[in-house]
Amino acid sequence: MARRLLIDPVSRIEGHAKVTIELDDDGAVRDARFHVTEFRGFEKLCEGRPFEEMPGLMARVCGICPVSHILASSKAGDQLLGVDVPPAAVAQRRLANYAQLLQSHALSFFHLSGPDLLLGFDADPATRHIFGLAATEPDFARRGIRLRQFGQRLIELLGGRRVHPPWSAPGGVNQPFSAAARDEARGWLPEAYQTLELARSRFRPLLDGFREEVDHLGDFPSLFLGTIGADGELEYYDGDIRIVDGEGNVVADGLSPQRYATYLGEASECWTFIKNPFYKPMGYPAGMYRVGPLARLNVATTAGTPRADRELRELRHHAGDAAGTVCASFHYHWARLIEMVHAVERIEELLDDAALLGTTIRAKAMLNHREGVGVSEAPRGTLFHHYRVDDHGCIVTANLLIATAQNNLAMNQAVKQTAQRFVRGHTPAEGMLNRVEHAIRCYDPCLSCSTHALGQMPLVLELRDRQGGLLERIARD
Amino acid sequence: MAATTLLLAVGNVLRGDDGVAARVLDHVLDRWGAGAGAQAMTVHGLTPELAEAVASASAVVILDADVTAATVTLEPLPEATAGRSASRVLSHSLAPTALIALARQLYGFTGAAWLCRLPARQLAYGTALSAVAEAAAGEGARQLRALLGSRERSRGDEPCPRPEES
Repeated sequence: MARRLLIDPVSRIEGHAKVTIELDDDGAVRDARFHVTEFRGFEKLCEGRPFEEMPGLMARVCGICPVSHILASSKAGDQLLGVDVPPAAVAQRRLANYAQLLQSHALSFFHLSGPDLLLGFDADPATRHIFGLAATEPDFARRGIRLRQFGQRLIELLGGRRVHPPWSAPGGVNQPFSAAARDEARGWLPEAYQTLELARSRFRPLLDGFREEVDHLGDFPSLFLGTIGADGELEYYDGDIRIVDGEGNVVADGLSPQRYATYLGEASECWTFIKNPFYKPMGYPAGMYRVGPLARLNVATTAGTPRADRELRELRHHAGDAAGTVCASFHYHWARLIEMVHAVERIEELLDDAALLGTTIRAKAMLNHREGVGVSEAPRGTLFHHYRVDDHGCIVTANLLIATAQNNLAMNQAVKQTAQRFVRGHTPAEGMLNRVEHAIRCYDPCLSCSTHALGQMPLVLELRDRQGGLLERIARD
Repeated sequence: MAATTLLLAVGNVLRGDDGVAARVLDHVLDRWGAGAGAQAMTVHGLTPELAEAVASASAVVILDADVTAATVTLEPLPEATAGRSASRVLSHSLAPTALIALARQLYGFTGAAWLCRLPARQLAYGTALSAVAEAAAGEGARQLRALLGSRERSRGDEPCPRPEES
C-alpha cells in the first residue's frame, strides 16, 4: 500500500509548516511537499490606513526581520512623496539593514543550523540542539550570541529599540545618529571579525564530511534573483535586479525593482497558504527562482569588500560550476557566513562615513504619487512592498512579495530531492527526517513574514496512506 | 555577578492580554519602584542573547501570559531537561526553562529563577486587557512585590514599602 509521511510541524524555523512525504508500495518516495499552514493576511489589514503609518504597521509582520519591512515600507513611502531622501538618512537605513542581516544570519548560522553542522545529522535529537552545542562548543555558542547582540545593539542605537524600532519613515528617518553611538558601534567590530574568522575556521573543514548533504539537500539548477550595484557588487538597499540561471548565464539584467509585477508572477496552490512567485517569461512553475544569500552571491559579479571577496572566491572555486555558480542549497550556510563578513565590512565603512552623522534626516512633502514600490534585500532575500493609495494617501491595495515565498518552489524541490535520497522505508530513521527538515532550514524560512504567521509547536510525524488515513504517529517534543 | 533580581516581562503589549506581564511591571515600578535590588525588562520573546543578561543577575523572575492558567502563580522554575527542550528551544525564541538552562550552561548562572504565570483570555489587537488579565496584573504585582521584599530582607536591605491593601 502506498503511504504518506507527515512531518508536522517542521522545527527550528519560524512559523507553522508541515512536510508530507508520499511513499510508494516499496517505501520509496513518490512525492514530497512543504506546506505552510497558517494565514495572517497583512495586506488586507492595511487597507484604509494612511501610508505614513505603514512602516510601523509593517514592522509588526515579523519580530525577526522588522527592519527589512520598515525599510521596504519607508522606501515605498519615499516614492509616494516623490522625494530624494537625505544622505544621512540613507546611511542610517543602510547601516540598519546590515545590522539586521547580521543578527538574523547569526541566529540562523550559529544556533538554528549550528547543531546539525557541528554535532552531525545523525546525533541524538535529545542533544542535537543549542544545549548540546553549548556543552561541546561553548565558545562557538557564546560568540554567536554576541554577534547577534552586535546587530541588535546597532539597531537599538539607530532606532531606540531592538525590535520594531519606530525610526524610519517616508522621506527619511526620525532622529540623527550620534557620535557616541557611532563610537560604541565601532567598539564591537574587532570581536565581530574575530568571531566570523572562528566560524569560518570551524565550518570549512566540516564541508568534506557533508558531501552527501551538499549533493542531495536541494542541489538543482534554477534561476537566481537579487539586486546588485552599478559595478555588479552586492547591494542590499538599492540597485537593479539581475537574474541568472543555474549555469551563471545572465537571463535578465538592469530590471527596475519598481516594475517587478511586469516580470514576476504570483501563483497559488490549494495545499499551502504561501504564494509561489515565478519569473513570468518562463511561466509557472518553470520560472522557479531562488533569492537570499546564495542567490545574491550568484547574481553578483563581486562582493565589493575585500574579506568577503576572498571568501566568495573560495566558495566559487570549491562549490561552483565553471562559471562559479553554486546550486547546492546546503551552501546557503556558507553564503550566510560570507554575507555576515560583508555586512561587518560595510558597517565599518558606514561608521567611517561622515554623512552618517548628518542632521538633515528627513525630506518632507505632500502626497505626489498614487503608487509606490519599496525594495530592499532582507536577510532571506529580495523584499518588495507595493502600495496604491487614494487621494488622501490611504492604502487602497498593498502587496508584499516576501523572500521566503519567493523560495517556496525551490524549498519544495529541495524537500523532494532530499526525501528521495535519504528517506527509505515506512519508518525512516530520525536522522533521515532531520535531513528533510534541514533542506528547508537551509533557506532559513520565516513563515511569519510570508503568510504572515506566528507560533511554534513540537515536531509530530505521521505516517499516512494515500487516502490520508493515519498509520503511525511519532511525536518529538 | 550583581546582587540584583532581573524581572523579565514577556509579551506583545499590542496584543491584548499578551501584554499583561508588562502591566505587572508597570504596577510594581509605578507604585513602589524597582529599588536597587531589581532590574526590569520587557521583551517580545525570550531570545538566546538574554542568557547573558540573566547571568549578570543573582536571580530572575520571568513573567508571561498563559491562556491555560486559572490563577496567578509565582513558582520556582524547574530545571530544563535537554531532551524535552530540543525542538522548542531552537525556533527564534526560547521557553523559560531553556533560557535559564542556557544561562547556566554558557554563562555559569547559579541564581534562582521563578516563573510567574498570568491568566490571559483575549489576544486580539489592542492595548486593553480583559477583566481577568487586569485582575491578574494586580495580583501578579502583589506576589512579585512580596517576593522582592523577601529577597531584600534576606540580604539585610531596607524593605520596600508593602503593597497597599485593597
